[in-house]
Amino acid sequence: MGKATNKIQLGKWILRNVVAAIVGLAVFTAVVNFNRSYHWLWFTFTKTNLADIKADRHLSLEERLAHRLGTDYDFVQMVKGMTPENAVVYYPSRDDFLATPSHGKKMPFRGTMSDKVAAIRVLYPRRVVTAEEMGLTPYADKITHIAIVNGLHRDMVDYPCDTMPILDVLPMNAEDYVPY
Amino acid sequence: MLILVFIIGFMLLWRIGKGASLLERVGFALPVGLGIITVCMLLMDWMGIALSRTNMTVLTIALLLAATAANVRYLKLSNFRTFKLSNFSWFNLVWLLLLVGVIYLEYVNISKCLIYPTYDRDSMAAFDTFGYVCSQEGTYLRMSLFEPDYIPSLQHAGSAMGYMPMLQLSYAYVYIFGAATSKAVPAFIYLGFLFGLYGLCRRRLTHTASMLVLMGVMLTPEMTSFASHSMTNVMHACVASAAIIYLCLWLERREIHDLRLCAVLLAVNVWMRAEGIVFIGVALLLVLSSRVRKFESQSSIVNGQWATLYCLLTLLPLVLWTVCSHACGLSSESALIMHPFWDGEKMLTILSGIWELMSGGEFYGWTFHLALIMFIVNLIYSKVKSSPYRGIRGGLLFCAILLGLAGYILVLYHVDYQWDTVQNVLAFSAKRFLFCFVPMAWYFSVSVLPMRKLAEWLERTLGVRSEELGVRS
Repeated sequence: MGKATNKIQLGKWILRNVVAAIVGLAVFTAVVNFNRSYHWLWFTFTKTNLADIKADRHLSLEERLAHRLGTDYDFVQMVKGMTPENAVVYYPSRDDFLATPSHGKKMPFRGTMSDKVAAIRVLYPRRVVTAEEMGLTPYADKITHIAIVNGLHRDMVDYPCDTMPILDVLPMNAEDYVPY
Repeated sequence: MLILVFIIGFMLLWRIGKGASLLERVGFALPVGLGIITVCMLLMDWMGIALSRTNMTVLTIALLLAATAANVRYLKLSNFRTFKLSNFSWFNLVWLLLLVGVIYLEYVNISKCLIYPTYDRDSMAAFDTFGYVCSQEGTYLRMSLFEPDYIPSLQHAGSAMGYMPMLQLSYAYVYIFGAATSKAVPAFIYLGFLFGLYGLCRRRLTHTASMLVLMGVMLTPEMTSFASHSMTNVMHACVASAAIIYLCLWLERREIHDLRLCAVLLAVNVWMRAEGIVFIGVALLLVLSSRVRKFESQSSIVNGQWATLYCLLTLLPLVLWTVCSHACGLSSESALIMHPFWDGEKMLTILSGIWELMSGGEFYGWTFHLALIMFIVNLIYSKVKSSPYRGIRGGLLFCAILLGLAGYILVLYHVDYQWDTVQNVLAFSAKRFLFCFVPMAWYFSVSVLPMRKLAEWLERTLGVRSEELGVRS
């Protein structure tokens, strides 16, 4: 008798909860479909990020950052690889990153690494000097390398280069220059 | 080491928040622990002690021992025996579905947070890089980035050099111990916040209503999409909103531990972001107004003077940083206009910008629409039930939101927009300032009396044994 009563109560509980859950889901679906930003979060944001996470989880930290920050990050990594730790690097401006080169294809830069402090995060302990700081900081007189992006600022070195690369790091000192 | 910081924070909350639930203590332990550690780091740095791995280990162990010593009376086994497994008579499928939704969104958030190193512009251009360079050079106050000769732009008005140092030093702390990225800090502060907010909600709400608050917060598009970044806004929102909710709980119930928790979180809030002073202002106004208009009976456990003192003490982190940064030459030009003035056009631009942000539904969904509707519903309900006292009490958090908004509008109005336009600040920065109000708005919307009654009825109807609901009214 007791077991039968318990079964009835369990059945009632399940029925009530299933009905409530269906109503709840219907309300949720309506809210998510009616409001564009909720729809974006629930469907686009979560799915895109889960797909990215699935694709990137086996990559190294640098590769994951390159995925998020794009070619800009690859460029800063290249500068890091081509300069010693005690280098003082002339770093291109946002306009330089987004400029169209005089020859060759336009690079897919987005300006994500154009901020000086952001560049320092990757280039540290190298010192970084930007175009706006020329004449304002004593480090401008100590520049050892020029980071070339979109072929710009090659004229800052006073020796002839044998090629016209769009992306490069040129040493200020002609003796350190290694031709391709 | 972050676990030890968590334990330090937990111990402090254990000591001061005796009436708080385990979920609340677990939830807010990390930001409180980081707050303590970073204040000590700043003081050490100011005294010229290097922020090296050895010194940080000694500091952590010393704080851990101090926290244990302070709690030694309370760490008796009998205290732990008071924990009992909750009865699940309230359990229902709606709660379960909401839980699944919250877990799904938090899974996406925490995975994104832990898989990707810091890549958002604001963190790379300030917080994360400052923390990284500090860890490499063993000093924050004298690090190379703050040399005027090296980065002249950091001396300009509104530059990142003047930001409150809590998160930069927290990032430095994890980098000092060899972390590859600092993202564990935002990841676990936000995860903890979800636990803490659930615990806070349970003080007044049923399980299902509490989970609805969590779902509402998690579903807020702009806030969730920023929760996986290292910038300060979401973490600040977690701490500031919890502090104000604690304050409202204290004003209602006058339980001393709520006031203490409010004070600790308000201090962490201003240690994270200087504009957190707005919430200290809100707290002071509410405390002072509660002394004029009695929200509670005369048998208050703590009188208003003590509450005022607690609120004033929360300004100490701001005072510490102001004195310390001036002493070390880190003060940049002020970005604020410090004299009274009237510019109707500027005020109108800010008001219309804030209104567009809140009413648009694009960034916060229906968070603020619902809060406004619930405020009106609550007023009508209390009028119908002839209970104006309950109406005022129920609208306390809504008043706090309005006061906080007024404070933010005043701050935005007094900013001297030399480095950027007011329109840009409204479009890109102000939307993040409003994150603080999202948890408050959801908590308020679900905790107004008609909603609470509805939630209690729902849980009674859907629960396993309706007569044993453990909900406090």
